[in-house]
Amino acid sequence: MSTIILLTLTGLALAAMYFLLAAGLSLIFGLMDVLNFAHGAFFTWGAYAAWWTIAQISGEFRASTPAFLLALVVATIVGAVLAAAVEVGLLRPLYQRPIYQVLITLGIGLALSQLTAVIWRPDARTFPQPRWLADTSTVLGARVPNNRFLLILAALAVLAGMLLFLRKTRYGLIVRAGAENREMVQALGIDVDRAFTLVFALGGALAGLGGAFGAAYFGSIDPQFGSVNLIFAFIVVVIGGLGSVTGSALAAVVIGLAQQFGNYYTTWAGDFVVVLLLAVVLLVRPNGLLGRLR
Amino acid sequence: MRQSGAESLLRLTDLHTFIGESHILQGVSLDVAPGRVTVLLGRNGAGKTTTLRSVLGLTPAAGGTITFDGGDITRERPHRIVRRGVGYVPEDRDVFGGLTVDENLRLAQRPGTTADGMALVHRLFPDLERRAGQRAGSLSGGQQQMVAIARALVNPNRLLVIDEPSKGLAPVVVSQVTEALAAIKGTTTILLVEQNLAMAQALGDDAVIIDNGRTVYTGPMADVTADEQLQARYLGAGHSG
Repeated sequence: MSTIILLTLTGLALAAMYFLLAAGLSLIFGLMDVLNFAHGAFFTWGAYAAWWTIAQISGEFRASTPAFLLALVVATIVGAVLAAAVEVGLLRPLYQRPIYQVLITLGIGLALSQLTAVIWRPDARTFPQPRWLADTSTVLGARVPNNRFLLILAALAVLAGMLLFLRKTRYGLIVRAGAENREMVQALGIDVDRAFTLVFALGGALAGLGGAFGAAYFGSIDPQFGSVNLIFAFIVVVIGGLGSVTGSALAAVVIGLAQQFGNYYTTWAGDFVVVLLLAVVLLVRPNGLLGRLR
Repeated sequence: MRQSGAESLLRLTDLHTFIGESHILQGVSLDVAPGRVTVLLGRNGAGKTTTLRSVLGLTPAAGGTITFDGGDITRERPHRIVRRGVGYVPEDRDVFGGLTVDENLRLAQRPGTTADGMALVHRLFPDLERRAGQRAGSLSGGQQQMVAIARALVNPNRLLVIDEPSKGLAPVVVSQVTEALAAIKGTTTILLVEQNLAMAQALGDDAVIIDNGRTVYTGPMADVTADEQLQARYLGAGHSG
């Protein structure tokens, strides 16, 4: 029983990390029709920004709670600023050329990952976290690392915040309308470019935050940290339905749990089950669990 | 061809617009006088919708000039043109189906505008107030057209650009839409594309006919109505009475 509890909570924490990465991807695709392959790099840079912040304040091997909290803020800001810079500087001139967008985001992703290796060395680094976060709590006999709970709580808070943003704010209204018909939004006197930058920055912020939490979850980071997780985030977005934040949350839970249980009981089937789920969903519900017909 | 001496709220001069490689507008010129309804007529494919889209900057003009209230808007981006006080009702209505009626209207309402526009909309289309919480995608074609027109009316626009409001609607709904537009006639300036000649006749003060992307007639709407030869020559069988 304790194994089931441990696998479930660890699976939900993995789902929470995938969600933080996938939510931004989904939002960006929903409004802008951009498949952002640079998103993994924002995740990596968030992780390294968090690591660097902690290293400056508490040293490379131990993190104080204030240093860790500040690291989360810095990671979020780094993700947002990077994303906004990429959108304004490189993507904006290419909105009429979808193939070029794919190529440029792919290129930016590779370049940013390489830059990480150049600045902080290509080998993996241990991610320091406060002792209370690395400690475990006992739940029905299972000893679960506390960072799993924090990750789940953070993802729930982000989900609630995003739903409030989309449903209750004017910018949320613009994003939802823009996902349906961008041209008509412009024809109502709304500056769509500004909405694009905001959504891209928001997605980057979530990726940066996800990177910091992901680093705490895995306990170490390396320059390929984001690109490895990006593959699963894309699967989450497709299964959840392109453009649906709630769909991404649902799919992340399915993928996180399937991966954890699959890997535990077979040692090899975790990733296979994920790809199988993707294939089944694409065959049965091509628009994903909660996706719109595009 | 042009009305001489009349002051214009909107003026198109020798407009040329391409869609891809196709040269759609090959010299459209027209004036829209303030406070009047100018009807843009022509056969299917003559370039009427492209003219309206060029005015809005959605299909930017490649040559010629567009001035609105004396300012050159030829190269301006669509949202800036609209913020100058231009409301647009597109040909296919383009309501946001996933948003409620109220959300469609709130999205259209520019920040800082008064509640007068919303009150006007609810007076003209009381059905929309009753259906405020309903998803626009679940409305009938006529109700969606009302939402599309209402979006242009919630702001104090000086010019309404309306593309075929009767398209695809049942006759009884066309009458309702005509009544609503007649109610605002005189309070704002309207550039209207309309294939339904009865509706055009009921609303129009001035008429402009374009053929093959060029302006071929400018004059009072009443003269077009009276001139069957002109109708046969430029409007063809596509116009219904």
